[in-house]
Amino acid sequence: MMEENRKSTLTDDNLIDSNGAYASIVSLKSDVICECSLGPVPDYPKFLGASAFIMTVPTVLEEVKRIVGCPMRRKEDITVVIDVFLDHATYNKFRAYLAKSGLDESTALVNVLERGMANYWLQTFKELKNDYPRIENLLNDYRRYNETLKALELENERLQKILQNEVQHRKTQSPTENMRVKT
Amino acid sequence: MKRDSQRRNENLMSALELIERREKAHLKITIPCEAVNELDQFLEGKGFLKSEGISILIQYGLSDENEEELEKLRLEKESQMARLNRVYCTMKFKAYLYFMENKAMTMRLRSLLSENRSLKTRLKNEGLQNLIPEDEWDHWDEAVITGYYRKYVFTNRL
Repeated sequence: MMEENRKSTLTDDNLIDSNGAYASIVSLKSDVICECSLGPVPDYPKFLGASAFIMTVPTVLEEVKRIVGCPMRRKEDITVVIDVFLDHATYNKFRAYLAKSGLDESTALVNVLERGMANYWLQTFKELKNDYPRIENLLNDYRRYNETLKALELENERLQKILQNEVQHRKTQSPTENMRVKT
Repeated sequence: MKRDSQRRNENLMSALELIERREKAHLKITIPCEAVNELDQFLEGKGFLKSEGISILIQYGLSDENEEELEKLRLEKESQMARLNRVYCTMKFKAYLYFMENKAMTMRLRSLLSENRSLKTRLKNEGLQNLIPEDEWDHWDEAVITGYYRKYVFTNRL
């Protein structure tokens, strides 16, 4: 019960190091740790325990620095470089969006990516709908060609048999014809 | 030997990068970590590689539809997606099977045609013209055959 009350007044403070490891720190007051989860560096779990429960924020930061070997920074201070190659049409659209919206590149890209994620299934559906006739035509085209090739194979077998039969027929016929010639 | 193959791979990679750079535009922008975490989770959930997924999402995010059109598309999707997806996937798979079979058969196309022409000539020589059928492949010249090779053998695209 007491724990419940305490959690309801807690505030989150996320910290992250340069390797991508993180520490989620929940403090009761601004400088007292009451809950701390750390990962994914293997040494971090050592940090969990009764001692962390009562550590102050500066002490936690010092301890993290000691374990990880480098200081931790606030999560929101960390940025990541997005490095992609786009087709020229999309790139030009992005430039046009930037000019139209008046946003800085970073905010504009985040907005575009968020819209992309939100409408992912709709856009997938639209692509599927547009691609449907193409696949249908392709299937018909492949099927027609496949049937032609199989007909060619079958015809070769059939013609081969006709020729074999013809040769056989002549062989069986030739003695009689020879007799006729003799008489 | 190992070094040679490593060098070949490196050359191939740099050639591919060069082609990509020439054909595509480079975008390099810094965004906050929180946005990237959300993005990573999304891409992982959809089974995308990061490089591939981000460019697709940018493309989707820049689509021209306004809210009204998106709503229309949403309604359409709800009523048609399951059926359309099922038929589409089946057609695509069948097309793939035909494509692979055609690929294997096209590799024998010259020999099949040559056998067919030789059999027809033999039938003619035997005086059996009436048994020789008229076929569409009788008129396939080198250009047509090369066209099929290009379409089925020298491509991996469906």
